Amino acid sequence: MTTSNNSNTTTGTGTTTNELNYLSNINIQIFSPQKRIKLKHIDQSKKQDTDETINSNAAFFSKKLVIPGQVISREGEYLKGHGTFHNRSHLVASVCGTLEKVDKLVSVKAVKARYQGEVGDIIVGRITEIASKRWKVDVNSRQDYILMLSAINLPGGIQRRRTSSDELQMRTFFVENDLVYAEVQMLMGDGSVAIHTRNQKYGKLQNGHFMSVVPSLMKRSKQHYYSLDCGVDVILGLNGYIWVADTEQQRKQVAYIQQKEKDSFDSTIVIPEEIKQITKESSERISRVVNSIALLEKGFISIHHKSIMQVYKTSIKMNLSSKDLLHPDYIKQILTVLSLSNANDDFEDDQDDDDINNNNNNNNNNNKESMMMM
Amino acid sequence: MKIDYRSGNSIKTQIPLDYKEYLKRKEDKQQQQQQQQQSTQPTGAITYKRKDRLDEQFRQIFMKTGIVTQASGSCYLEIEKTKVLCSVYGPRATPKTELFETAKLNCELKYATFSSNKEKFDYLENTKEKDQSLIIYQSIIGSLRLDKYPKTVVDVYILVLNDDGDVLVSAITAASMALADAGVEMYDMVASCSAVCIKDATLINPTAQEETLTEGAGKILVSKMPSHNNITQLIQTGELNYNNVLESVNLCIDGSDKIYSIMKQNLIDSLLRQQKKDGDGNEINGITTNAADDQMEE
Amino acid sequence: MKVSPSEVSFIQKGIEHNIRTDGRSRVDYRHFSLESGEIVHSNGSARLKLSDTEVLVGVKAEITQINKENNNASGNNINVNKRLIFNVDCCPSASPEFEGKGSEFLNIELAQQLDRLYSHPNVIVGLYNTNDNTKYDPPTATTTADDNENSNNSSLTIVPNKYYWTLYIDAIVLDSDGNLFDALSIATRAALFNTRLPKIKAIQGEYEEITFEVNDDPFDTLSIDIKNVPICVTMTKIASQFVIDTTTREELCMDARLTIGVNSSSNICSIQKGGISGLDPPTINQMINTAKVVGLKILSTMDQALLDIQLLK
Repeated sequence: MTTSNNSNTTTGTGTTTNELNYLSNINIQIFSPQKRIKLKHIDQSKKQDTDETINSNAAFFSKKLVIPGQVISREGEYLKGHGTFHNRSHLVASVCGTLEKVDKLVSVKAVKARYQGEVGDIIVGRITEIASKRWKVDVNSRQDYILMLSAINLPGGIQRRRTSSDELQMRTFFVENDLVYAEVQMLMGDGSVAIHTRNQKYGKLQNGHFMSVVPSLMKRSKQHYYSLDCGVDVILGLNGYIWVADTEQQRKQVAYIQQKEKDSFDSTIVIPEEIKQITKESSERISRVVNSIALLEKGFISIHHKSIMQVYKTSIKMNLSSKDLLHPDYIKQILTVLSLSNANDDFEDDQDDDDINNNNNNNNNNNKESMMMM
Repeated sequence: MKIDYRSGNSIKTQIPLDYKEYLKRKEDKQQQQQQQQQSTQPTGAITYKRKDRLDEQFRQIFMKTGIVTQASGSCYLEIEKTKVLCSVYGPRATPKTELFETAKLNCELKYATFSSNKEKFDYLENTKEKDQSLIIYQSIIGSLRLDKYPKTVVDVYILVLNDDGDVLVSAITAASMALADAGVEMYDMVASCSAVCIKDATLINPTAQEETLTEGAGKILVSKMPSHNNITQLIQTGELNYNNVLESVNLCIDGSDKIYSIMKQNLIDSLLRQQKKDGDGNEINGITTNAADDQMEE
Repeated sequence: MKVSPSEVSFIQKGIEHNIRTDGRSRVDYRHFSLESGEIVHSNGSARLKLSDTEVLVGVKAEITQINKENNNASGNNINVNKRLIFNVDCCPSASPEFEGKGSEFLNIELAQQLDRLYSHPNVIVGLYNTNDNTKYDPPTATTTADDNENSNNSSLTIVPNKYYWTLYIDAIVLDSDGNLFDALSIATRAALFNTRLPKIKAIQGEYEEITFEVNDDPFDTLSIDIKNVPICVTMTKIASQFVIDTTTREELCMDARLTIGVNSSSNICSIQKGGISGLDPPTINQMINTAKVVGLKILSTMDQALLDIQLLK
């Protein structure tokens, strides 16, 4: 719109003319599978009775996968949990997903359900609305979660009561569409959920790439913020929202913000261009990590730092550029490689459960603190 | 050439336009037929010869701002028989707060039922109105500083009173004039120009007749903000080769510059007129024509 | 989908470096798969899947009669030559944004873009016999040239000046991840390639009336020559650069876009600008040039693939 814009476009002019040579690289491939699956006629004569259904379900049962309406057990054998209901003396699943058993309690965890928060969950969210004393945050859940003004970290980490002037300045902290890194604080009686960012590490996320995957692919662990070996930071929010950024750049940015916050408490911090800058190599690495995560989602493999790095390294070993990871053929190849190697070592960490407990304890402490603050 | 070709004219009784037009069309059709029979050109190459003006010549343009008293700003524009009325309401408050940081621009183009000699208004026409509204919207939104008016809405209503070709150009120009008249902050006014590319000529500012007779030929519409040299809308239809496209785009760019100079002059005149009005309470005639004549002589 | 200002600046930085967030360079196209003949009840159909963008196009042919009386009375012949009628529907299942009136303007914009793309009379140069690929000669005018006959789209004529084929081209957007314009134009071209028209013999009755004899042999049909049918390439300007084949996220941070129609003889068939900010003439020049190269590349790949499909059948 302004004259500076014009000068920009002229610089762009030079580079694009050079790059016309690269047009030969345009990557287009057309497939035409022409596949047609014949619908199979189901033989009605082999109608099974209920007892047999239960028996045949044993296979399902061992795999822990159930579909809605599937009989899990006879009544009284187990206690009904989430995702199940009683029907004519049978315990029946109401969603499709994995079956979980704790002692006598049976519940079904849906594979593609929306995220449901639990206290202490580490999540990434996007501000949707500013209300009085609170922000509404989209976290891939049934409803927007609530971030109270009293539940954020003030610049410089100072501890004080929130005043009405803070309330007027809410836009200097977060505005609509900003991404926040936060933790679930508590579940209210009416079903709404409060989150908080009362820690130095939580807060606004800037200068990186955001993507969302199915929440059930995320696993609880001790850590959700990883600096991967390749110099890329990832935040794996339990709600399926993922943040990918450059380690070096983020480190500089944090240092800059902290410096600024020391100097002045109010006023929004504008991050200067030189700190926003990332190198070409690191954008290449970020895109490779992003594509690796997308590939894991396509293969429905759980996403954590090990599996991401495994895809990352496999793709380098196979001498693929990061854009090749979008190619259906390569996706298939890598997924086969993964399934072969995963047969050897299991990803499931037994430690995980302990971690959750620890986390919960910590968070409970945190919550107590924040409750006291309020 | 006078810009305000009807200034000082009172309405005279004359032969109904339609009858004249009928005769003219009949003549033209005959000529077209003759040409078709004579020509041995391959199918698809469309030829047309202008009689009353040069290929690069505009029709006479008349515009006046401040026509609708109820509106925040308005403009009436005539390109000979094409007559367009545009009124702007706003910026005014909107109950919806979905767009917080900028004003919302609404643009609506309507054809009056008597605007053309087509018999009925069918569904296709309806989409045409919406499509053209969208084109106008896209051409003018880039020129406005909507971020200056948070939580408001600006409505632009355009009524086509008579369609004799180049409706879009008239509508865009009128909308920009009306917005300027309404005092909406903008980077620059948007001027527009269109052309029809046929076998061996490019016709600027086509009439409805020229538009229909050259159905399927290449058509180009450009709208731009001249002082920023920024093209805000570019639409082309029909098959043309690369050089033809560039040539006609350049031609249209020049054309919009010319329209822009007229728009500029007109706005200044209307400002002058308003000042005079405020000063001694009555309008002084003749300013428009004189100033406009000076402009053209340059 | 929403983006925050810092995400926008991140995407812009990536584009300046010529590495987009999904690892593509500025002129990389995503992979797409094309299937044709999926819809049994249409004369021709095609489905295009471009990453997560998915469109389905069906072509229905109908015989239309030119009503001379009406035509003369209204004094113009606009609709007479309109033998391709486009309709695009972004169904709400693709994205919650398309629900209700949300897609109203988008539908019109997409349909009008296709309409502009096919506005040239010689888009469809002719018909050929599906069996042996020989050219099919449309019936020529036996009577003297009428004032209405501009010989536009004459290949779709059944009886000159009286009956012709009208192709209703209906497109549905099933899933969307950006670049709808290009996806629709490619799918439409493939659907036209797949279109089979029955052979029709018109028999002149005693008094003006005409009866049709439709050849119902499913293998003895006519196909449409798509040699001259264009596709469009959308160049999107983000920051100071322009890219092709944008994702939805990239479209959210665009300044302006130019959708350029290109056919195999590298002529420009339509241009449409979109987006809020303006463009300067040199950039437009470059965009058209690049679109021409990209378009030709897609067309050649596509033609090859379409031939392969045909051979498979």
